[in-house]
Amino acid sequence: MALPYHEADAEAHMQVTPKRFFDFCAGHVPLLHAISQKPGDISEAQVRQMIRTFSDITTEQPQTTWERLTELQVIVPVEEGSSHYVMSQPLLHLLNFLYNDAVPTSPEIIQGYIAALESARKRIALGVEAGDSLSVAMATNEVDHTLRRMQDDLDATHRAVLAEVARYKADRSSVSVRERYLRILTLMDQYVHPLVEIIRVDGLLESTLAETDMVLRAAREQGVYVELGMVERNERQIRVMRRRAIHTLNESRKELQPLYDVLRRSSAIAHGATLALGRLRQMKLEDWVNMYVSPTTNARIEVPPTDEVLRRIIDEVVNHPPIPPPLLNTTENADTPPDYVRLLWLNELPNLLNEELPVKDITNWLTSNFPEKGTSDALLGLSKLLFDPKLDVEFKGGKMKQYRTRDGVLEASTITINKAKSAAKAK
Amino acid sequence: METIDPLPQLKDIFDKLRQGAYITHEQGTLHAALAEHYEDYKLYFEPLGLNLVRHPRDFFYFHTEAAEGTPPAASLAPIAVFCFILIEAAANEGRPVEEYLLTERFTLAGLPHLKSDRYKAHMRAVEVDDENGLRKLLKSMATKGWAEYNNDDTFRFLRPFHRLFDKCQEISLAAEQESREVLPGLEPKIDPEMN
Repeated sequence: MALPYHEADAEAHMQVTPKRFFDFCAGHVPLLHAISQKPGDISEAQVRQMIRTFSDITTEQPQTTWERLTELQVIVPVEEGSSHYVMSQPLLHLLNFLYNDAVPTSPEIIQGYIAALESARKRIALGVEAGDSLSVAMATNEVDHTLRRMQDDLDATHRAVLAEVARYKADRSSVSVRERYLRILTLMDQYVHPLVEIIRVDGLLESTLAETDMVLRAAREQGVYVELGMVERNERQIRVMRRRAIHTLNESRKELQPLYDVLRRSSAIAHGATLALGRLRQMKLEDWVNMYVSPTTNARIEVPPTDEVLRRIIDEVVNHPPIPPPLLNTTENADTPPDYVRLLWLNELPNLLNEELPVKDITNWLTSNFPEKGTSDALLGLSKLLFDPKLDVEFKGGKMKQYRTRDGVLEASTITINKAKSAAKAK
Repeated sequence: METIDPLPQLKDIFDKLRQGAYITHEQGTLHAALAEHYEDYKLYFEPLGLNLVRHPRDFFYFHTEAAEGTPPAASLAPIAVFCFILIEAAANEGRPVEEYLLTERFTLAGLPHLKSDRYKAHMRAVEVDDENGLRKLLKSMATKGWAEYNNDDTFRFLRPFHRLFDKCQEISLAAEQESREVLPGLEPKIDPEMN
């Protein structure tokens, strides 16, 4: 009796025993690998052709292989009744794992995970607030799954990068530079680079992880959720995710960067050459040479200095602007310069003081004898006397006194001044 | 009185460079002298209007202001076409262009220039249409320091070929900028951290 489709399907499921399945797979590894490498779906005719190419038809009839493929659900129709097939998803994952093949994860998928984390975080926060341990438990479980899948996908991206780099290094001749460049460029620009943007320290992932971490801590501290193991595991996973995600992507970037640089340069060189050749027959040869050849070539130099240097020197001589001679101030002023007057006063000061030695308060002597002098002149005079080698200066200390000058006030403690002993002896 | 030591091999270096040729590692002592006293030579030539350039790939040449304004010699067009074809063919075969062209030794018979109609047409445009023409071209490149040519019709390119790579990049960049100006908003995002 013919069974309805879903029943037949259910029966078929039941018939797939692990031993039969793996025995078949073990005997048809090249065929399975070939099917897994086919992008998109494949027609029945293509599968049959692949069976003839990759299976040992002396040990098993192609028809038998075909029947086993469908019966064991190695391949499944894309829709009911279709003659186009795809490899079943779990087996494809297994093969990718075994062959270390991986599909890079798009930034959109990672953003989806981040949105899922954000949603779970909100539910944990609400659950903690409402004391609802069940919803906290469910959301915490979801965080666990999401983090695990995110890490798996990031690892897959890294594996995909490594595989592409290995393919590039192993296969040096079959694909053009431009195509290889585009493949590396796509990996870098479509996957690795946007993922780094998301995962970087100030990126979207980090803030979501930080917030999730906070609600998990709240759930633990407030005792809403009794199964602490799960909360702690999530917290551990968040720490690992932070560390590994950026590390994984940086490693991918390190693998790609040198190829990216070399290929970008190679691609630009090839692009430039093709462009130049393309214009060759559209332009006059002379114009083409001017545009695409110079200045890669050097002109012969007949006799130095070059015409250009001679022309420049002649130009400089011809255009040399006349510079007027410097003007000297020849008019005489009858006034004596104030600086000179000050100098004379300073030089005369020790002699004036000498007549009145010893002086008990030199600052007082100076300001009272020369009240017309401003503060700066008074200080200059004081310095002149203090550093005079023919005078002995003694700082008495004690209370500060104020001394008025023409334009201000000096504040100092008493300074006594005597004739220097050596100077007195010499006299 | 202080005496200034004369620059070593000045005459030979000048004679070579003034012909529009390059001085590369292949010129042994000339290259060594230039590499050691580059600044001194540069200062010496400067007042004569001769700008001695040291390319990042470590070869030397004169870049004169007059050279920029003067149209390049007619023999340069075939050399350029020859090189552009070789670059394109190498890239189409998936080879790393620079590494391949500067490390391989080529044979005249193995060149792609006379093997496809498109390349043949390009070569005809610069009046090279047979193997003899190619041979003559290679010998002229050898004189200018672009290549090393052997009598058994084998040759290899020398470092000055990098100037052509630079030119190709310049052409590509200019074309990209032009297309960006025509199609604003298509500029790819480039993260300085990534480069």
